[in-house]
Amino acid sequence: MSVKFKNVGHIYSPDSPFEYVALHDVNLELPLHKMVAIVGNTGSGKSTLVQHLNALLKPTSGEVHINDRIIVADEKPRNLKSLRKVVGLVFQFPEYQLFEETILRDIAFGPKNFGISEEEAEARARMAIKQVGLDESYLMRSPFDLSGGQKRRVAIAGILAMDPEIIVLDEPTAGLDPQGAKQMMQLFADLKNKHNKTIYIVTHDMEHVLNYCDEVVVMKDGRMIHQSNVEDFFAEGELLNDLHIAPPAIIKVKQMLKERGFKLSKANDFDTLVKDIVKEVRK
Amino acid sequence: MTKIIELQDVVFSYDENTPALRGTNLYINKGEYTTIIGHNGSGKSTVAKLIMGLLEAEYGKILVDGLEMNIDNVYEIRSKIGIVFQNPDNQFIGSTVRDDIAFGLENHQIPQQDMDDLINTYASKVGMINYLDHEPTKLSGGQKQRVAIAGVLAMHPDIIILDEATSMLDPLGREEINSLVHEIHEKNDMTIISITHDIEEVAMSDRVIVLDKGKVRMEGKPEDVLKRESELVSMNLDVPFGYKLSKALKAQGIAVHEDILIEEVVNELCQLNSKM
Ligand SMILES: Nc1ncnc2c1ncn2[C@@H]1O[C@H](COP(=O)(O)OP(=O)(O)OP(=O)(O)O)[C@@H](O)[C@H]1O
Ligand SMILES: Nc1ncnc2c1ncn2[C@@H]1O[C@H](COP(=O)(O)OP(=O)(O)OP(=O)(O)O)[C@@H](O)[C@H]1O
Ligand SMILES: [Mg+2]
Ligand SMILES: [Mg+2]
Repeated sequence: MSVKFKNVGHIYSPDSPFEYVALHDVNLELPLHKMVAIVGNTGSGKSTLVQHLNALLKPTSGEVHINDRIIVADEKPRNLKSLRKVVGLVFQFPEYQLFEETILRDIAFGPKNFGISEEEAEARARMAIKQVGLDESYLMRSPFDLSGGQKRRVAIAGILAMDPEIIVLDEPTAGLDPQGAKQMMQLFADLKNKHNKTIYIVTHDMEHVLNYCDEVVVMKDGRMIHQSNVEDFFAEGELLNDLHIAPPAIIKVKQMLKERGFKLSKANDFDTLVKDIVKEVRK
Repeated sequence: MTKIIELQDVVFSYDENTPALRGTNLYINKGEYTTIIGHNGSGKSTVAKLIMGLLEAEYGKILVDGLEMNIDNVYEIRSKIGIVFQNPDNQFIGSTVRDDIAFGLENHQIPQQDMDDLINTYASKVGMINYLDHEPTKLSGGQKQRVAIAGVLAMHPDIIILDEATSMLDPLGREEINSLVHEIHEKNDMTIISITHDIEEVAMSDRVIVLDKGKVRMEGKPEDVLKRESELVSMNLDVPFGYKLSKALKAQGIAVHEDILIEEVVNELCQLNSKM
């Protein structure tokens, strides 16, 4: 069982004056039961890439393998429902995912659509709304009458209620308040650690990559240009520079101090940094 | 300091059971870069929409540049303000990036020749010069935000409101756009209001207002407000990394000040290190 991209290309509006090549020959294998960050600058192809994971977009060349399913160019994927039961995707703009009259119906729609009883679906909705930090009083409200961050939370709850094996999240913490973002990342980490889920997350937040993710994939101009574990990714200041990626605050501080003669150990956690600085200053 | 915007005892609810603003008092100083922070649903976007006259207060007074918000003044007030909405799709009008930026300029009666210059200048400042013929709604999330920002900057309004306008940019892109906004702000004596969850951006602003459940809970200089850790965390917010680090070092007996900016903490540490 695995997730693979084989020579995947994606062209938007092919053979028209608006043709745009968004993915070039992407070869990539994503591990299961891990949290993988997909990072890269504006317009590098991250959203395009992840929308292939539940066949919202189809490759215009190459193949996408998801467990034993293969999605290929020029062939209408059959039985999409069974794929979408396995892979749940939260969009970058949550408003495009919300459509029902009430939040309860919106969240319960997915599980019901996959054949779960009405009762069970609503029970899942009640649980999911709490998981994303909103209380049950929201369930009878319209999903459109919410603040930006609340809409994102509801969109995430809708996918959680489907209980997919693979959860794909496109910038799930953009617009969340700082503690909300932390709680959300912790929730995803728990889903992976305690419930064996696979999490693929598009993010610009390098603190989240450092603190929660196992692996990193870097996109640039429609190409996959780097894949490694998180430690290696942040170990090389030069690599980050080349990739035009601003490091998280802790790594930035370490770089600045090292340049000015501080000796610091390799670990990237707060307590070690404090201990190292104390030792250096007292030396 | 002149107050360019004032909300006095403003009450607003979208429906009876959920008051969004519950007697909100706040002001914005002319020429300052003010950030507004607060938990999800605290009322930040509602404040922005009230200032634009897109929503009508049930109670209280809103003043913008000496004008009281009412039916007669609302268009004049709007003409002074450029806003980037939280979801940029809600503001695109043109079918290409070029037309979209042009549309805002036409409303400000800018001559055609200057218009092309302005479009090119601002599209390149935000890194979107190669996308002038693209359809705004078919751009990536970060590209949409960049285009929306270019449109507003090009208009040179007296007041700019940015509602989480850089939430989908990569960290370097965000730094670039933030310094672009700072540069334009300083050169043109504009008033900037930025609604944000980015604590590092708050640290760089002149003044910060903290909303909590539809009320102003704190306001002042970032270097004062951003040190009130337990209060901020209880409101679902956070303190900057520089503050966490300097506080932890101070607790270990290192003679640093509690700073909010990383650069200042590092400088102090280097001085301490060289003195030894
Ligand atoms: N529907 C579309 N039609 C045409 N071009 C598109 C479409 N969607 C995206 N693109 C283009 O494809 C490229 C990749 O877009 P994508 O949304 O995958 O980027 P991204 O890495 O997710 O960026 P961001 O971080 O800004 O969200 C961009 O240059 C974008 O303009
Ligand atoms: N169109 C609407 N109809 C009904 N209620 C709304 C509507 N928009 C917002 N609200 C409610 O009003 C309150 C304030 O919302 P607002 O959008 O101002 O919050 P915000 O501070 O901008 O939050 P966020 O950080 O999530 O964007 C929230 O409780 C929200 O649920
Ligand atoms: Mg994207
Ligand atoms: Mg808002």
